[in-house]
Amino acid sequence: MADQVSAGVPHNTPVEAELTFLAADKLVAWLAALAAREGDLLVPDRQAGTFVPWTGGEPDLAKMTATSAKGIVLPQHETFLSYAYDDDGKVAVTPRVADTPTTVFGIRLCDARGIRCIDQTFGENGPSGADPNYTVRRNLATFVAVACTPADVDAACFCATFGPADDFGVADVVVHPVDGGYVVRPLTEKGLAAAAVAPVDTGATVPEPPLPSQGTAIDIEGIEQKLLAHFDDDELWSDVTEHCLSCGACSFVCPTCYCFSIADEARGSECGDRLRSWDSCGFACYSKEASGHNPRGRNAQRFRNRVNHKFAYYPELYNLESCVGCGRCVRACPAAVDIRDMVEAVMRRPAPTKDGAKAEVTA
Amino acid sequence: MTDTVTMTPGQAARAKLIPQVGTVSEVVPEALDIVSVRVQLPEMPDFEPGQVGQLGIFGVGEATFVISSPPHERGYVQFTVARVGEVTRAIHDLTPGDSVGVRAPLGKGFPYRDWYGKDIVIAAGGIGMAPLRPLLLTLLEERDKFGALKLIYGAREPELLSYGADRAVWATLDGVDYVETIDREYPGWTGRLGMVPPVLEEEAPSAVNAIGITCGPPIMIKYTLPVFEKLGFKPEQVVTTLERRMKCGIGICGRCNIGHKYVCVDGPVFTLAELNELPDEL
Repeated sequence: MADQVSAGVPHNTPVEAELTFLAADKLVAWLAALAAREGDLLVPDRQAGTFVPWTGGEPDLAKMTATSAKGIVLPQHETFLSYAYDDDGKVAVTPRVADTPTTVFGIRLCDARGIRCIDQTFGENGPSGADPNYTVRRNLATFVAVACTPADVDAACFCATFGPADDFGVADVVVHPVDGGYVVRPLTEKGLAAAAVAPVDTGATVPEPPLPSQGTAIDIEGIEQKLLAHFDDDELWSDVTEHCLSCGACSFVCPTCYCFSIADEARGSECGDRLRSWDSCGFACYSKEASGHNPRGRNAQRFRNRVNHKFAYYPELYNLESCVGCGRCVRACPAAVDIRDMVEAVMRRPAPTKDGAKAEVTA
Repeated sequence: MTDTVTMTPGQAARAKLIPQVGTVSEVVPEALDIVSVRVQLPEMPDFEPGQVGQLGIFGVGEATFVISSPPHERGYVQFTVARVGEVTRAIHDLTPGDSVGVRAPLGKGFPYRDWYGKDIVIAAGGIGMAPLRPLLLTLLEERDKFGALKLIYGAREPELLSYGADRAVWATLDGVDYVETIDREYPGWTGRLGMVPPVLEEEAPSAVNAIGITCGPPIMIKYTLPVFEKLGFKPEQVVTTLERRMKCGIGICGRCNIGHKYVCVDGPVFTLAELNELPDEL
């Protein structure tokens, strides 16, 4: 199984497959069939705010989880090596990589688009080639996405900003809720395998599923240039970040934020693990150097980096915004900071004058 | 089903977060709270002057340091480390024979082969000499390929000047014009006084067919770059190497970015022309 790294990503290969119809009362049977496969089956748990092992019964598919599905491929904490000192003080290092196949039922299309973003950095085209731990998890994960209905969309959703409703991201299967059941749409070989164990109604006429519902679209036309033009506009950044608590919640719930820290966890003095754990550019110590120098010591500088990363730096590298409009950061922020307000403030800010004088906001 | 398994050798080779286990061969005191640690590795890496590496102690952690030995000194890689935090305190406690983890080389070094035939001016401050030492020793190794060679090396106090053995050589070597300076008067110091930027301005090296290189504390770099420009160096002729907090060293953990560039993979060596294209966030 671990050899899937060298085997590339055949299971992620797109397929053209027929749509099928699953009756509503067969959903639990499908989950049972998925759970019977090798590995774990996870479903959304809104109480937990995340995806948890399925323990039977109907999954809660109304609205998205508080955290995104990124933890399936980039866990909040992941041991990537273990070390042990021998009696002579010599160290042996054992690289570690997960090998459990995971099927996740009920991610949202915004989750599927978020993982496409993380693929850019941790995949084979990333700055250092395919990350082994990420690649194994990614190749062993099957994502069953549920298309949003109008009832699933709330005021924080703004996914229409970033693409059409039929952009299925890296979903392996999309499940469209329709009258009386679900239309099952396999998109990859892994998805085909997951759909193959669904007790679909082979005789039924498959209805044409409606396009997934989307949130609002906000104006980001030309935002990359605007952000770079306003980099030194301290007044702008101080204003829009005034209430930020630097708690990092926005990063942790974000489906595209991938920053991590590395730390050793010793078990006594003889052995231990080295882990990577989610980090946030919102944290004050994130870029603080040992000398005490911190290029982003203030909130305004940190949040400027967050917004710039998502709407300027990342698009420069990958021609893709590192935001999918899921609205999770908006819902999670304890200080009601809304990234859409920042985007709007930047978009309507008059271009800086040549002599560097602060322009008056007229809008 | 196990939670984790050992990687196959092929995977481990691609696992750039996995260090080689090396053995400390020597710990050289350099200056006040600064030591150089020499490490022997099972597979000695090829590297360029200016490239960096991760040096770590299992159970404590790892941190990024420039490789301060030149590529032609085979048999070990050297890191020069100031004692400022938890990892560096543990590094200062190392003794020969100790096991350490090393991931090197990382990043891009100085493109010194592009400088053949040119005059070279180096302005270094404090521990900022660490990336410039392997550069200078490499230039001296290929001395006939360069024009005039000038090094200005300054520190706040005499005790903060590293590489005493090297400095003694440079001071008498015909091949390099070596200027040593201390920020302000200090008991027992009879040499030159002044911070690196004004001393560079006084020395006024010609910008014609020359390359200016600087490294030091961020504040020194900030004031040295304009001096080079004032002396007539164009942004393409001025080179610096940046410090930034790093974790992964391979461009994926996020923190060392300046705009869309990552210091750990796109740098740490940048020309002023390249920096001018990036947001001002040093």
